[in-house]
Amino acid sequence: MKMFDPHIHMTSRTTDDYAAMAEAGIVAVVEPAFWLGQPRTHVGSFEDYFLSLTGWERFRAAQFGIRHFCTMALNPKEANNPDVAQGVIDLLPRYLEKDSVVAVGEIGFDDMTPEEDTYFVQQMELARTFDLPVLIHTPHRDKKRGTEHTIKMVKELDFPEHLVLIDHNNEETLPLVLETGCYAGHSIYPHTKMDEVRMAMLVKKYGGERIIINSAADWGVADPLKVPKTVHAMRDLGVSEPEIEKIVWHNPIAFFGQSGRLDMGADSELLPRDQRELFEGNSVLRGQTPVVDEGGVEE
Amino acid sequence: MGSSSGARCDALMAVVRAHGPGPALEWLLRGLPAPDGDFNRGLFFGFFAGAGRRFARAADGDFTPAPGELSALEAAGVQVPAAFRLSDLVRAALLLAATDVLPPEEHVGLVREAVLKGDTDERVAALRALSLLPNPARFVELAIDSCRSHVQDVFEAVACDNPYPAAHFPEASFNQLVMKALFTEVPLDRVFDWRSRNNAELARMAGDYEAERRAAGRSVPGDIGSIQETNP
Repeated sequence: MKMFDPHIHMTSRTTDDYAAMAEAGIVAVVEPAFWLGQPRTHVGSFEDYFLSLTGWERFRAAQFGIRHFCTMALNPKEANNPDVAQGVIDLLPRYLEKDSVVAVGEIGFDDMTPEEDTYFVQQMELARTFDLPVLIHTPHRDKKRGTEHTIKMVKELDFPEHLVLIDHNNEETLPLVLETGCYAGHSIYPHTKMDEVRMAMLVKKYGGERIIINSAADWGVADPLKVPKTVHAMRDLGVSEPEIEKIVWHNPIAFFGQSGRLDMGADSELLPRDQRELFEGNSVLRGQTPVVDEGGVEE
Repeated sequence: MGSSSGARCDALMAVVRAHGPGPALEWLLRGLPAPDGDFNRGLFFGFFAGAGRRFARAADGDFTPAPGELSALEAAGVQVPAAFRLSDLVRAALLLAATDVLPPEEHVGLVREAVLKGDTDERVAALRALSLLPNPARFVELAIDSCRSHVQDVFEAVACDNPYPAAHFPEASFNQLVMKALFTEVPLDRVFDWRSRNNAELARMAGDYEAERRAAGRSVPGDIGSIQETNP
């Protein structure tokens, strides 16, 4: 079964991860711009990060046949850092025009401060200007209140709900999101957030309409194969194949496809690999024989 | 537009108008800098980025200029029209229109920004356009640096089917370009007019590379022979 991981921070992952993901059936990923584990001290660091999301990381993914898209935003945590926040917002108009940018995100709430509110509103307006959907992160602490606050803000701004993906849901927040027209994302994690079996039970209870699952793998303890592993868990619990396919393929494509920029190629298959290609002088190979699929670009 | 940049921009835009999708053309005309308008740098680079998806995709695959259009492009200074996708022509027209309205001292900064802050396609388009821009020798450092970066598509945008390096690169940089073409298995036929820039030092470098390959028991690119044979 072809799968889409619509939230994964591949800049933090290894080439082994890419190879394993492609082997497991993951054809495309969305990498949301977020924080890097420690606070950035200059706006310039964000700009180089944004360039790597549209450049090097895209190339690295293609080396393993995976289509790489991204979302761009000032993340909620760093919205609280006055040294960078406004400067990052000022960068966004240029980067939101780039071809592989399929949403504004992750925006949303971390500590639920007034600053987070301010930049949330500004970035929702940017999404409107650039005709892009939005990916909204919900907080780890005080999650239910944070989700309610998110929904209230979306409604106050009169933002089209089908263009909103509210992420990192759990048993408490999913019913709230499903009452709206927003998509509901779930991050399947080894220890926190949501696990495969609980997710499968939620699908049994609520069905697959507007349900999205992702690994949200980053630089922490995480598992880039959580989407395929959740497919197995859903099968074990008797979720039908069309329902599973809707969740791991059709829903993310329908959501991010609203950007008009989700170029999945004619057949939505893995890209032909050509590991002989170089980027910025760096091949991803370290002496191995390059894998070249038939149809790989001869340079 | 009366200047050479303006006339070139018009020539490119004539082809773009004949092949571009209607909504994309309408959009582009809002972003093409005009002599009587204000130049907004941020907005300009938004149009430079957005031109890719609006004119690329399907249109690039089908873009085959008619014979008359090819001669018109050649007459406007596009020496290898086949190297230009439709979106590359659009981006070249945007840069030409911008150089037509900006003072000359701002041209290098503008093109440098297009390359450094572009995605791969934007970089390729800006580098393919260098020969068309006014006083192109000013962009030589940018072109040399872009070859150095080794993004294969970006390297090839300068090295292949582009008259710029043969016309403007100093010998040492041109030799590095040719050696890199050999290293990355780019056929030398794609390096525009390389024979006119062949030199003894290049032949020496190619010979050393051949010896290194043989010592390692590896194959030797056939193009090394052509460098040594045609060395003046």
